[in-house]
Amino acid sequence: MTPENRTSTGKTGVDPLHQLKEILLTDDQRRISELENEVIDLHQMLADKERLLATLSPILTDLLGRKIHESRDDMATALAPLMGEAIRKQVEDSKEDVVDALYPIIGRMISRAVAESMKNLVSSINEQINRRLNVTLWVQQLRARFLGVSTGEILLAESASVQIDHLLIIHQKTGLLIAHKSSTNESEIQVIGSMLQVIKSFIEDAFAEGQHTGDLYEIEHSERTIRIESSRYFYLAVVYSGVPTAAFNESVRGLVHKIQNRYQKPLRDYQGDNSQFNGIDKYLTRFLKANLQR
Amino acid sequence: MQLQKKICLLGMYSVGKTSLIERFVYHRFSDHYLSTLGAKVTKKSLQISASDGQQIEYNLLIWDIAGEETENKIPPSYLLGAAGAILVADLLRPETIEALPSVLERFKEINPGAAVVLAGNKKDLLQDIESDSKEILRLAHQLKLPCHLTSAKTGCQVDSVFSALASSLLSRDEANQVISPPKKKAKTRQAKDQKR
Ligand SMILES: Nc1nc2c(ncn2[C@@H]2O[C@H](COP(=O)(O)OP(=O)(O)OP(=O)(O)O)[C@@H](O)[C@H]2O)c(=O)[nH]1
Ligand SMILES: [Mg+2]
Repeated sequence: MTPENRTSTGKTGVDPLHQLKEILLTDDQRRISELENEVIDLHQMLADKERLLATLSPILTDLLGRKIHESRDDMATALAPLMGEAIRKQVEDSKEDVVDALYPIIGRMISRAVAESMKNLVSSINEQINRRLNVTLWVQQLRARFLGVSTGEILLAESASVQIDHLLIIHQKTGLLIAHKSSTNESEIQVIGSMLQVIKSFIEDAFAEGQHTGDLYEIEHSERTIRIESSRYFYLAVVYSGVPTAAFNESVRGLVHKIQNRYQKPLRDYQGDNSQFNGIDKYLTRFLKANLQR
Repeated sequence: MQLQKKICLLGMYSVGKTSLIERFVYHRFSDHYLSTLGAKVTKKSLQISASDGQQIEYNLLIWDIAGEETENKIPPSYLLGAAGAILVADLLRPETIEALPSVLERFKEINPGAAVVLAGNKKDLLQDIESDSKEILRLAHQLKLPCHLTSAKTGCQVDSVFSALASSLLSRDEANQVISPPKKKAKTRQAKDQKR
């Protein structure tokens, strides 16, 4: 009790009217002061954004939910312009992230289109074979049946004899060698990787037209060809001799997409630590095996 | 732990960039001047102890980049992704020292976080080392960069320049947590490998 209260109780003892008033009105007074407090509280709540939000947000969610449920189309029309703007803003602000997210998808779309045209090619070859007949074809057809593939694929595979000498996975920005697989012993492979980067940069810069820089795709030297398949953070260089087929080209792209998808994060954040790519060897081995069987 | 790093040697023509690399990597020197065309990459490994005691092996891919002339600038892709650079000047040619700030600016524009050290080369040709090295030491002080007076001919301080750069790389890698905490991880990995 405050000293003030004590003096007022002291006074009430003197004035009976006051005493009566007090008896009649204490209840109301208490309620008034309670209400006063509540009003103050509400004022504070309105002033305090955080508290207001905390109070309103469950209601708003409910309201939105109900509204969307009742008149879905109306809501869509109302929100569409806002959403479009928000997405555009998001893309503007974090281009890198969006590109990262889309890269594998676009890659897959392209490779699917390529696979489709491959299938068409194989089937057109099949047709040609079906029209003719000779002994070697018989043998090949037997082999095909034995291996469970189409004769066309066998023909394609046999016309292709690609001998792969090196596979290099090179970090796009630094030219550092992330992983490699070689048929011959090559102690200076890291330097080869970097020199490839020098050549690539030189050619791409030399032939750049304004903003349009192309990617170097192939280097030929006597019997050898270096095929370069670029991805966002790395490129695959295949050093081979022989004549590549569509199937080979497709498998090169396939390898790039697999690595891009599997190692996106370590590729993006690469600081020269190759131990983050421990499992990459099995992709390269599988690629070599697949191209050996052909 | 092993780490690969791209580093660049930069500076005006004929200051001795190629010679410093030849000395550092192959321990040899030639008086014959053969100007570098474009860029050439050489590899050299360097061991250094991290502050927690673990041994870090830096596999340096050293880009020897042809000295810039006014008409043909260094293509940015030669500098891109470098973790460090050694900026070289010829102690007897003041203009090669004066050129360093703009070389540094260009390099840092592309690689803001990279480590940089200065090398004042051809120390063996100096008559009066103290007065002839004043300029570059002042510049180093002003740019707050480590500086070494080297001679590719005698080999003097050549290893030190590269070591200085490596320790700069190390402190950056430690700060950026590129270097994983020692042994513990390595051991569990080893144990796993043995199980396999
Ligand atoms: N006396 C002496 N001569 C040196 C030294 N370093 C380099 N030279 C000589 O200076 C000349 C140029 O050296 P380089 O290493 O080719 O110079 P660079 O910086 O690579 O030149 P560019 O490739 O044209 O940019 C050569 O004749 C070298 O022999 C040194 O420390 N002392
Ligand atoms: Mg040179």
